[in-house]
Amino acid sequence: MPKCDMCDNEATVHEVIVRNGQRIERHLCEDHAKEAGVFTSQSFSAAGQVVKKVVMSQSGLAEQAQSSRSSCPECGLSFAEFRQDGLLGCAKCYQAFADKLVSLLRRAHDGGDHHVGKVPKRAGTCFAKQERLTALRKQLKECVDLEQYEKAASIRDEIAEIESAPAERLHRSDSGEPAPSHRSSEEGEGD
Amino acid sequence: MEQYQPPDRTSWLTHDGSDTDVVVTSRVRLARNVAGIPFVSRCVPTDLRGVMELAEQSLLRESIAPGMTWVPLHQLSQLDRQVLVERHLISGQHAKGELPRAVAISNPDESLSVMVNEEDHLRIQIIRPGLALQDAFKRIDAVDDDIESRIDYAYHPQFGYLTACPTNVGTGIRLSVMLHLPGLKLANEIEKVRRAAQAMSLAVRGIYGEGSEASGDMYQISNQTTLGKSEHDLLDQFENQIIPQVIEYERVARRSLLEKRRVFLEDHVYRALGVLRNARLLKADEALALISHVRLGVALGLIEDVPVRTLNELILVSQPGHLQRTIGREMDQAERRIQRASLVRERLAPARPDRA
Repeated sequence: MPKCDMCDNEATVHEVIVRNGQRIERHLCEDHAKEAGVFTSQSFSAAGQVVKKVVMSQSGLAEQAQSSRSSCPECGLSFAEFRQDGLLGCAKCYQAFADKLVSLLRRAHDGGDHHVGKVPKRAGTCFAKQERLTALRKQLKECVDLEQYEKAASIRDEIAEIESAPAERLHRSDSGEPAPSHRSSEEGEGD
Repeated sequence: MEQYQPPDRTSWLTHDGSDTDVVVTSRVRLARNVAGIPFVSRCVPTDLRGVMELAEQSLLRESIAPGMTWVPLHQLSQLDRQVLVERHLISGQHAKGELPRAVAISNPDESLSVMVNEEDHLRIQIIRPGLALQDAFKRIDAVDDDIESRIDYAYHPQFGYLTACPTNVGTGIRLSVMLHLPGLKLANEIEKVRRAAQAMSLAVRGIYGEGSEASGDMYQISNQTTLGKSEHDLLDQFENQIIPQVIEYERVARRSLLEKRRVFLEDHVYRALGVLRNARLLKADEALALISHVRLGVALGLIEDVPVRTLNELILVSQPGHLQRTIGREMDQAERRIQRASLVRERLAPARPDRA
């Protein structure tokens, strides 16, 4: 029988918090749990919720937890429903559940989590743009990590430029001409 | 009620191909979805009808294949649907249900078929006799390009072609080779094939795909990985590694049976032919198993008066749907057994000079 971290009573409340990548476990009895403000099913309270939210947002987990509960914004399929019959509802589900799908995909595809092979011809330009952006964002992060702030600034500008460029002009900006800086309603979506 | 009048010969029965002593058919399938429409399981009937319209317009064109025939499945009788399943033109799952769904078939060779509103909006398939994956892939790639000139596919730069089930996402491709492996079965060495396939993340299944038993010593080897491996890598793996290896295993097993256990093998083969030529009641599975043994006898030169094409046709005709179609009426199981036995006797009857 696990004991409470604070006294000799039986621990009935078990809490796991991941903060800055560190896993913190707490095992408490009912009384000490209340004292510590840990919310339990019996003591469900607004205060408890607030505590939880603060902890989560501090550790950057709020969005992740949100996505686990929420459904695909496009078709309304929930992850639980997907679990049940193994079918996704629409193309946007892949984006909505991306975090969870990746580990599942790796298991199903012998470790594969990135498409290799045929690309539809027509959509090519949009994807080229998406892939360029992904590459630049990765470079930006590396520059920041290495404290190369000048280079980072220029990459950031380039990202902003590409993001604001209409899809069909992308090739021209790639070939050295300055990209138009205005935002366009025709901006291409990658997926 | 609509009808699909299947041609007398479907292309994969012709037996004109490479390595047909072991390889029955090569199939390539692509899963594709239309961008901007939910996947089939979340579609309302209007969406499904929208996909049907798009598909009909895009598929019934000479450039896709001459003689494309549009078959609205939801308007077809159960028997006609079953016939299509047995011909490998639609899946068992596609045959069920009354929601708008269709299959487009190249007529009369039936080498190209496109299931519309199965698990994905489009499931494109090319089937070829013998070992011909490269050829089948070239053909399906061209068909896919042609369809894509009319339809925007759901695609994502990281995940590739998006499919309803994440196990198909990426290339959306499934290569599948149907093999006749009676030698390995008799030698108790099918496990060898399973191990070789497993080592390459490939699946070994029965004749009618997922969950089906390997009746008549027919085995299908197909890929499971569609993400992170290109179409060409997979083709290379199939055509240069696994399939030639399995073909060789099977040929070695057959030769060794012939050399070391000739009487056992002869007894096995001639007994099967004897039963097929004399039985008055035949179950579908039993017929398949016996036909398989006779096919082995023909491949090894033990039986000379039975063409392989006849055997391939019998495999199809002894299936419940085709049998009822051939006889021309619906029958219960008991009557099917009688009619199957009679049909098989007729087609395998030895040529008698005194009657000719």
